[in-house]
Amino acid sequence: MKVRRSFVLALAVTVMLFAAGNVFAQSYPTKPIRIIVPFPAGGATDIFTRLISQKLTENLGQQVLVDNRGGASGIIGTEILVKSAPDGYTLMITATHHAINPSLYKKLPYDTARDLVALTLVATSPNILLAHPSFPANTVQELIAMAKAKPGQLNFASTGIGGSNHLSGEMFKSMAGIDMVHIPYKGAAPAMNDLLGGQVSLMFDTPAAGLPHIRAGKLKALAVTSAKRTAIAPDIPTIAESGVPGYEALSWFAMYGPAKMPKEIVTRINTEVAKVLHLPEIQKRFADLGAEPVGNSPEEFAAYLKSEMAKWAKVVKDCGARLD
Amino acid sequence: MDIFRNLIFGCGVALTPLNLVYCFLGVSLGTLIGVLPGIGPVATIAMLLPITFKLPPIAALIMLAGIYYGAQYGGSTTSILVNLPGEASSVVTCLDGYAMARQGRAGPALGIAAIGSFFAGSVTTLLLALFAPPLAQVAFQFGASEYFSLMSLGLVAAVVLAHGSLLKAISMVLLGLLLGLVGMDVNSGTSRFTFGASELSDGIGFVVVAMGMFGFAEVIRNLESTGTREIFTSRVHGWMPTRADLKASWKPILRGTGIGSLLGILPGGGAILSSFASYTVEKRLAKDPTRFGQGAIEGVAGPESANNAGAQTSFIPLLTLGIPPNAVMALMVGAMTIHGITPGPQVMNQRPELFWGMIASMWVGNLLLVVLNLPLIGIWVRLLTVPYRLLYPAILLFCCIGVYSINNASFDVVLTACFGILGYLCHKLDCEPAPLILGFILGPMMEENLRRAMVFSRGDASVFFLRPISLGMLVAAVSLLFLTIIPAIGRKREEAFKE
Amino acid sequence: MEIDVHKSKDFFAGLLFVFFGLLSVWISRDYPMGSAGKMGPGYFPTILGGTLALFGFIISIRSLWVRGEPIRLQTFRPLVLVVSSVIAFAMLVNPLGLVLATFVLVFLSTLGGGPIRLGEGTLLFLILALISALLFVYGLGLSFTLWPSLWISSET
Repeated sequence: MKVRRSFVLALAVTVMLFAAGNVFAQSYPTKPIRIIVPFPAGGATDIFTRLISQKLTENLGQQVLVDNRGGASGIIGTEILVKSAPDGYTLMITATHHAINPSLYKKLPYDTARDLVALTLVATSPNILLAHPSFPANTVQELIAMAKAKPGQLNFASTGIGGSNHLSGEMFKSMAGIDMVHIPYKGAAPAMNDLLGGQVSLMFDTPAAGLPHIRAGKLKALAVTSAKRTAIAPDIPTIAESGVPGYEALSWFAMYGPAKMPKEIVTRINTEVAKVLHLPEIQKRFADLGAEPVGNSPEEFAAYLKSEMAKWAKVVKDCGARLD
Repeated sequence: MDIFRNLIFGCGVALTPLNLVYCFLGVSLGTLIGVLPGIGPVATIAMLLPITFKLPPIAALIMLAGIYYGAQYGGSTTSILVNLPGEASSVVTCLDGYAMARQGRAGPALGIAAIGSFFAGSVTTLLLALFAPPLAQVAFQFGASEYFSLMSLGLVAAVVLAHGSLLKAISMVLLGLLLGLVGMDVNSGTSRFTFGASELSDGIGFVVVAMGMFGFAEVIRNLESTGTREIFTSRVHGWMPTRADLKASWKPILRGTGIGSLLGILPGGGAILSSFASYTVEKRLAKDPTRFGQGAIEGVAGPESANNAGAQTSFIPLLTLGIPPNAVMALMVGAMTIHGITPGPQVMNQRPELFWGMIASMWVGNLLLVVLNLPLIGIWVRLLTVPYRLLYPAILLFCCIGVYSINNASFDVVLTACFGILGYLCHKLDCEPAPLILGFILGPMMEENLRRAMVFSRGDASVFFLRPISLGMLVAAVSLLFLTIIPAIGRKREEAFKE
Repeated sequence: MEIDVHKSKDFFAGLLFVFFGLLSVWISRDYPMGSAGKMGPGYFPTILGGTLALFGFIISIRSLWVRGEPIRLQTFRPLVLVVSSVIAFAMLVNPLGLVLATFVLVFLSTLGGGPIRLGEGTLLFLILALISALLFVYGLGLSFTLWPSLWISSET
């Protein structure tokens, strides 16, 4: 009798907790949500986050605020996320850096696998291989031939060591078997400036940055880094089809939360974000910027994250890049 | 003429009631945050981005631009009043502006700063309208070697800035260079001098160094020497610049405008150099250079015009190419993107109302700033008559809040205190902070460009001498150095002979 | 209490520079130097630090000949007060909130009587706290907690 009663009691409590958890999730959010963006305001990650947070604020009825905490390739902001309470009111959206940092840094102040939970893949974006119009090669094939004929003569700019445009270049070098000198800059603007001025020959950059100059004739596009041609610039061939089969390097943005977030909140956030990402207005704005909204499930994204981390780890190891 | 038609068209856009209101809001807010130490236009614009969603794009951009150059005005106010440079470009104004304030001439200093800035703003607006695209092309001639030579010229100018011992000035520059190297090295990815603190991996913030060495050190210094004498004499010599002041200032204003317009075009550090360059030029051209540092009005007129000119021309790379030359412009790019405007070479053609409207509103903004700030001078001057014992805790508090708010980091405030100690030491040892600050700003850029130029040339150092612009600047730097050293050596030998 | 240190300012200035210069060189020994054509991260700091130490040395040595000005050390109190009040503010603003941290700052920086009186000081604190709260927190929306957090809260 007693056992049965305590069993029923335990069952009742469990059911109540479960219901409360769901009710909790259903009533979530009850206060403003903070999305950390570990990069300065105005950058690509920041813009995508602001576009989404505006819509989320409308849908959820609670303020969704963007909190810029830039520094150290996103590490400072990530650290803050990891230390926050896993109640669903502090989230983070960051870029490919997150998957690359573990292989670049000897020591991170958090454990990428254990301290965060992957919520969803927000968007992916290819990079465009840009060149100054006076650059002799017009296609990737010509570029490879040029590089092989005169090794070590070509330069390519990047927005910083370990960024996705640096490593896209390194991957390209190793897969095409050519040698180019990497010139790192502090950010996109000085790099783009030198590219436009013809000081540096090549650069991998986002469509948002590159397309206006291509359309104005100030730069030319040699290829895109995605596996398939992109919708916003269908006449630019991919690197994969231009002589380096199997090449794919995407920039992507994703949302994370601190580890140990309740499952119901994870699911709720995932559903809401996916809903926003499928809005036609958001689809259009993202497409204008050269990105493709995704909004997949936490499990799908976690698998993608793992594969990306492995891929970039290999590229980093091959080229020997290191940050500390 | 096409230009005038465009300008009138732009005025039509800028002077609509909505845009006027937002222009006014922007410049007022900008002045306010410029006055408050620590908080700068970057933080404010970032905070206001969500609000600008609800505004039409042109109004939003006009407001944000207003905040930017409004902050320049406000920054010079605190430089003059309490020796606190709000922006990198206001450091130079501290040198003579604050000295003038201590002599009871804060009013004329503030007035000349406003007038000079307005003049520079008007002229550069015209320059923007006429020459924006060709000016943008000038920036392309500047590669890594040119930047390095420019920075070297800037460093020599830093030595010229000082008015004490030459050796100590050079040492302060070197110390500043070293402090500027703290953080992650862009060319190799190694973190230098960070001792594992990730807060330092992006370097020491300029605000931290400036607040500490100029602000806190000054407070300590004043507290030490107070006794019964007040810091600011209560005998205020008028609120407005006198005719003599204006006479002395008009040429510096012209020169400053020219210097600032040219340097502001260069992405990455051009605008910062403009005020330093102007100060150096004025000091060199003056009949009695020893007046500089003691309250020479040319030392305020020239740099203030230069930094406003530089601030406006730094819009050129943004509006013509979509390339932001500094952090504030990067935010503007973000704001434009969020509003669906693709910054780039085609903005001028595809959205002429945006391009010309912004140019016209810059002039309107400058006008509003002068109208706003000149009457405020009376209030500021009265503020200085508050007894210092009540004033300095307020200064300390606002500095702490301002520095903290940059990164929400107590670490930054503690670091500022450390620089306060360093500033105090320097004052005791007769070492000037201004050359250190200039070295601090220029150091990392100089090294970055030196190494990059060497990578481009594959280790061939002659590249600095073979490229004409680079060679020209290096020659100017060396000449300036000799022109400064030789009289100094001459003076020392005279002194030795006298003894 | 006035001390006139008979070694001149220049002597100690030189020492200061030597210290920083040598410190930089010492820290940079861990960074790869590279070559003049391909400079590593250690190249610039080492050269700068070395030059600074050299200049500092020259300045100090010169001061032994040339009669320079002595340092005037009156009191360390302002230095200690200002620095400690700022550091106290930095440490306390998160746990104790803006208002209390302001109180500590005003209190410490005006400590020991000096020119400011208790009544004045309290009034000053109240005014400053009010202005700060209105201007910075409500007006500009900066993220400060005003009052002490009574429970363990996450980062603000």
